[in-house]
Amino acid sequence: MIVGKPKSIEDIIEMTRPYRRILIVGCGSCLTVCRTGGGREISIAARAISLARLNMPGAFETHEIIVQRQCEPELCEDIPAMAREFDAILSFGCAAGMQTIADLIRTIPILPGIDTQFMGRIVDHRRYIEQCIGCGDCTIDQSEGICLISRCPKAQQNEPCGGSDPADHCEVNPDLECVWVTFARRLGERPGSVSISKIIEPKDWSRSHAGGVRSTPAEPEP
Amino acid sequence: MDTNRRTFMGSRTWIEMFEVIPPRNANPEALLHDLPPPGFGLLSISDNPGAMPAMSASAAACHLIRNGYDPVLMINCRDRNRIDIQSVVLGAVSLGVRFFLIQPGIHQTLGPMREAKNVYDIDPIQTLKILNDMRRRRIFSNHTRIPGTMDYFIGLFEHPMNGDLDLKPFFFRKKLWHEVDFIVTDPITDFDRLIAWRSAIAGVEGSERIPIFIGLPDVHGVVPETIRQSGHYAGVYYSGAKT
Ligand code: SF4
Ligand code: SF4
Repeated sequence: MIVGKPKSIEDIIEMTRPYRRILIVGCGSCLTVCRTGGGREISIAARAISLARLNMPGAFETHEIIVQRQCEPELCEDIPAMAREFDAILSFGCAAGMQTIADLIRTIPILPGIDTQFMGRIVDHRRYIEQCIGCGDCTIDQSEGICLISRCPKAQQNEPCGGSDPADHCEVNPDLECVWVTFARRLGERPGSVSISKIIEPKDWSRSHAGGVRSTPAEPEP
Repeated sequence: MDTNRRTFMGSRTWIEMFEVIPPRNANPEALLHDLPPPGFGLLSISDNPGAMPAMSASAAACHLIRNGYDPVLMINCRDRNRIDIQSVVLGAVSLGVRFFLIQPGIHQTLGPMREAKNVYDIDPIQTLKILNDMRRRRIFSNHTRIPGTMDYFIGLFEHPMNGDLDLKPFFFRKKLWHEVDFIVTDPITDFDRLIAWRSAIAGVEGSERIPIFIGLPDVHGVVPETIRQSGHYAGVYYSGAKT
């Protein structure tokens, strides 16, 4: 799932300040699940903007709408007609969704209401943890189903960095267990595994974003 | 170069290695100031210690060589990709550097420039493999040939003070597999734990051939005489800063 974090209300107010009529577009998929871009969140944003604008001169108007998936142009097809009535769109989709809308509507600015963060796993519907950076060269078969690239801040693929604290927390993010401790526990649960003794070769980063913008091959129309 | 302890140690039985923090300016005097005289042991030059810019380790090594020292060039994986690491090695060898010490590097978010982007293209063991291929097989990481020959020693860190001792032999073996020449431990704060770690890796074939330097938090650190006399260690490594 794509996880995003709402921008601060101060940032949103500052960003929307030049515009009188603002269309706020939420997303009914990932960002609803992670409770940052669904109906509730865009209502809160609309109310906060309205409150802040009470003390500012000039009339002001917001309208809220949820699109099932902002990253799918077909599901956004009502937005261009609607957008004619507005001066700006404040999107609460992920950056792929925001850019889909920006592509559909070129006449007014698209403002990001969300900082898109990571591909994550749901821990308990209040917490999400990054699990993948989309390196394009998946090697979790060599590490007990654990990604040592996204879950180790130093991408240590062959041994831990030695910086974990006595409680086995990561040196960089002490809220999280060092991924090598997770790895070791997994090994203990799978007797006979030899993954710890294998050397993981340098990654082919040309398959990642480092290799340029990625897309799937264009398929001919059926 | 042969990777065995005798080649590394020569006639010495105990070597002191000091970590030198390059100055945060362009003044070579600041680097050379207060150093012990050449010939006393080894000086390792940290590579952007504390995740902060400093005189480049290569340039600092060059100043040290000109002044009669035999520097150990540290390379961190945080700031350099494989292209840069290989060029650093070529350049350093051309200047006369004979020792490299690889480390992941402290994460930049723990330093004063947390907004910087890191690299972490290859980890220290992958770096070891590439540096070993450069000297033994005379190839770069993409297998293109390197004309001529090069000789140098490659060192890596070990972390006796933390983690599961049962796993240590696996990590040590990976280093031996790619012909590590010497090992430096993280700073030791509990010598019983150091002994336990040394026993844990003792079963790794060839471990006794690798010179191991006992890391100490600073120049005031002292190694108990029994450990010093045990024959398991090549010397001490005085940390200059957290790198
Ligand atoms: S190895 Fe790459 S593709 Fe696989 S989970 Fe990690 S980052 Fe994602
Ligand atoms: S403490 Fe563990 S997870 Fe954190 S950077 Fe070091 S090896 Fe990676």
